[in-house]
Amino acid sequence: MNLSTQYLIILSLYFVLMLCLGFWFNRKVRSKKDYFIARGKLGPATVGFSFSATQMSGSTYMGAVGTEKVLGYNFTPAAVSSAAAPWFSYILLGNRLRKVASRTKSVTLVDIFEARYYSRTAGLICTFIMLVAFIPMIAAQLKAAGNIFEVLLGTPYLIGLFIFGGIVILYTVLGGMYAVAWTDLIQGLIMILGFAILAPVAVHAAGGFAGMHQQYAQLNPGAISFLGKMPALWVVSAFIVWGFFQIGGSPASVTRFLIPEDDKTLKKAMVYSVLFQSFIYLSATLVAIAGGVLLPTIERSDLTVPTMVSQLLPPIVGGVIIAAVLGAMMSTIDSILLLAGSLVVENIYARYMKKDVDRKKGLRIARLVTLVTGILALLVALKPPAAILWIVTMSFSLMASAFTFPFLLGLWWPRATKQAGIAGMIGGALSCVLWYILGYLKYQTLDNWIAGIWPAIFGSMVSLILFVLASRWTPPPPQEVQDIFFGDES
Amino acid sequence: MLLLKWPPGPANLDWGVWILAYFGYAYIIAAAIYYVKTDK
Repeated sequence: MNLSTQYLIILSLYFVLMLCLGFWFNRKVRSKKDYFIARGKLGPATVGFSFSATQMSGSTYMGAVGTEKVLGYNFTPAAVSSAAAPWFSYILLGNRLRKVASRTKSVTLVDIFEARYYSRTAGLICTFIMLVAFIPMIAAQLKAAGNIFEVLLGTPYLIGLFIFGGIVILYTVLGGMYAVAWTDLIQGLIMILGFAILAPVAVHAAGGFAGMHQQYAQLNPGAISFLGKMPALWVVSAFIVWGFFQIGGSPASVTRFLIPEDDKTLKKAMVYSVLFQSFIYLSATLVAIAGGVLLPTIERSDLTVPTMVSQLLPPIVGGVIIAAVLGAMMSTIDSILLLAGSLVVENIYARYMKKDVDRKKGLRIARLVTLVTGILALLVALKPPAAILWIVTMSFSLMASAFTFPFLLGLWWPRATKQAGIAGMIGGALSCVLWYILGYLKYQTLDNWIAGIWPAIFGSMVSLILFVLASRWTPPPPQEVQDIFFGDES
Repeated sequence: MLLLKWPPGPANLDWGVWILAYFGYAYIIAAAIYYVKTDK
């Protein structure tokens, strides 16, 4: 039996399992609210793993390991901060967001923005920025999956794309949040298994923990400590962006805070999340350093993991790791797909076109919109235009810049006003794009920025300044808004 | 003074990497569990 066939056997089993979950949960979904957030119907492990699996995409296995292989421990503060992101998000947003969502009967984060900034315009801007970022993000993950099929399994790109895309779209359309969260849990467990196998094998092959570091220091001396390869400001910015800015940059994950009905479930979910992400990022660091020793001259550093898998592991075991990589991609696609669907249905269709739809019809529309969004992303992934690659690179920073402070201060500062919310979102998004453009003009790349300051940091700072100034200069929010959002204080 | 000369850490890594990278994960896990258990 050849290598590709053995990989395909493992992957087929995995795909069948995902589809079975989709069909199983199809029967449980009763309304579009069930479909989009399954409020109170999921336990802490499912919520926690889903939060993290959504946040960590295929790029954790491919791009992040590749980057860390090159930058070594210069990248580690970002990785540690990323593992702590669920904790930041929970403490700063978690329980408050859950309570407000319950009071305002919100289904999407945009509903909360609309209620907090008492403005449909704020909701529309929020929806627009998210959708602009989401479709290319889904398309980019689909494209990466198609490439994996092509490189590792020898399957033509289009066939890989349609098989992978078809499965993830189908189970999301069928099972909604139930299927997404449960498949995220299983995908998360497979991700853990994948790294639990690969990390010790890779470290051993690279000469053991101490030997590996000795060799890595000789091959890449600037990368054996926190500083040496990248400017100090870059390292500090990366630490902040990968942790704190997940609040605004990863709305698909934060949507998980709307699921639990009680704080206890949410707190336990946070611990699962931190454990899961810590394990993944610690293992990724070890694999990356081992990769630096074993594959010092590999041309494309993002292929470090697949190359190590094919060189170090028997195909059946390697198949599990390929499944983990594809699972990481699926868990991001399904959540974004569902969130994009919910934005179109709840914040555009139900708000502006048809206000009263019965439960069955609402559910049908929700499924249809999710399907259309998925197909749209699939079509984009057939041949992504250059502009889309720009948006993919920017999408996280764009959302982090636009949403972090309007979101955070909206939940904690009663004086925050409608004008501040709108100015913070627009100003943050535009200044982030401007920072990318200035960096590009200077360095001819989207990955290098003036003075090493990350666009998410620059954009968020502009957003924060505009937000505070606008709040000070405009009349305070209506009392009923303050009662809903801050009524339980004092 | 702290920046002057530290003895090398175990396994050919400096102490800074050990403290932030490796003990860092242990710290955030312990902190998350402690927060959930005690609410502090």
